[in-house]
Amino acid sequence: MRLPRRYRVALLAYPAGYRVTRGPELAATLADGDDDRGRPSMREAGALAGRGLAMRLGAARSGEGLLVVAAVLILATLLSGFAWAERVYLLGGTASVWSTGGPGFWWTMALGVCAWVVLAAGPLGAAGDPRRRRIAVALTPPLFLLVFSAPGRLVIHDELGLGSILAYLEVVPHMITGNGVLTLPALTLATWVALRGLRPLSEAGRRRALAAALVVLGSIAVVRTLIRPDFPGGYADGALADLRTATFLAAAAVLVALAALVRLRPRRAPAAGRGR
Amino acid sequence: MSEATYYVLASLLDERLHGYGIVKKAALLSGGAVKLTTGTLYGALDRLVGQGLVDADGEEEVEGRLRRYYRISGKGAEAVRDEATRMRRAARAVEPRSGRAAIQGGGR
Repeated sequence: MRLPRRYRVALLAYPAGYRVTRGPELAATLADGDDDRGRPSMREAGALAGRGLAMRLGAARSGEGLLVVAAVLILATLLSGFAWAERVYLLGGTASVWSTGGPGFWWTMALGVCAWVVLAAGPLGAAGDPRRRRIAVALTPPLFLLVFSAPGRLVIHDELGLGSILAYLEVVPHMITGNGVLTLPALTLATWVALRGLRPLSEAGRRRALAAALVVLGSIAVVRTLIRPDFPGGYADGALADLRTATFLAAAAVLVALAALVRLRPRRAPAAGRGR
Repeated sequence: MSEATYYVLASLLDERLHGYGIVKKAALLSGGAVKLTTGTLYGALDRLVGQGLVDADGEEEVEGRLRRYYRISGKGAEAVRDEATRMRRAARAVEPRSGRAAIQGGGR
């Protein structure tokens, strides 16, 4: 059954699998309501968006929200490590593509945003159907490579494509040693966070414990780079420190807000007698 | 039990209903106070079906619209009646005659 476009759009927030199995029924209920009111309802649209998003984030499976937070913190550490390696090894220690005036700046920002989205897509994809999950997982490594390789090489050699991806491999060891012991576990955990969408852990308690451990580790890493101005590539390092920190905090705030949505929605209105 | 869940169950006590039928019945039963959105309704229905409190009970297509019907299970009826009892007790705690007024009067 082909749904009218208005209802297809209204249901977009829901995972694809759910839309296929339940979409026609939800659309019918929406259409009945619209007929009664004589117009489409914004309240309905808002509720669908919230509900669909909560479902995507895996509202029923606690621990997913924490994973998103962990992903943010880990990415923050990785970016910090890369900023250091990129400055020292790609640009000869003189400048950074992170500089506002640098030609690679907007590339870096745009690709950075992609990285946020893709990293969040790991846990998000886990709540969707298997096809979505596979796409999210498949996209994660190449985008990671793109994010961490293209900007630097773009500035220096005007190289793109395979060459820049191979060049990334040169930087990896320096990146790991550069940001101390934290980057290696962070890289490992980032991979795990991305891949866990492939096969969700069966036991909720174990998942929560792992997610909590990731958040603690990420927090330590970020705090370390935040408070030490002498930490190479850290968030407190250099002229662009403020902008980098602001970008990270803004992205983190958005994802934490999404995570909060997951935690709060199913627990809303605990008692029937409370409302009016 | 949330207010939405309560009224979804309550509206199914007398008869099987499809999605929008539940929305209308819940509004009627609550004197217009509970306006279930489609998102909330299906969130509650999915959960209730999963818990075995509500069962899907056939479907039909009317003017190109898919209508799936739901009916309350024995377990569901029991759950909503338990909740009603609990709320009656809670209401008694604040209603002037039976509970609080008597206690306050006695305290003076």
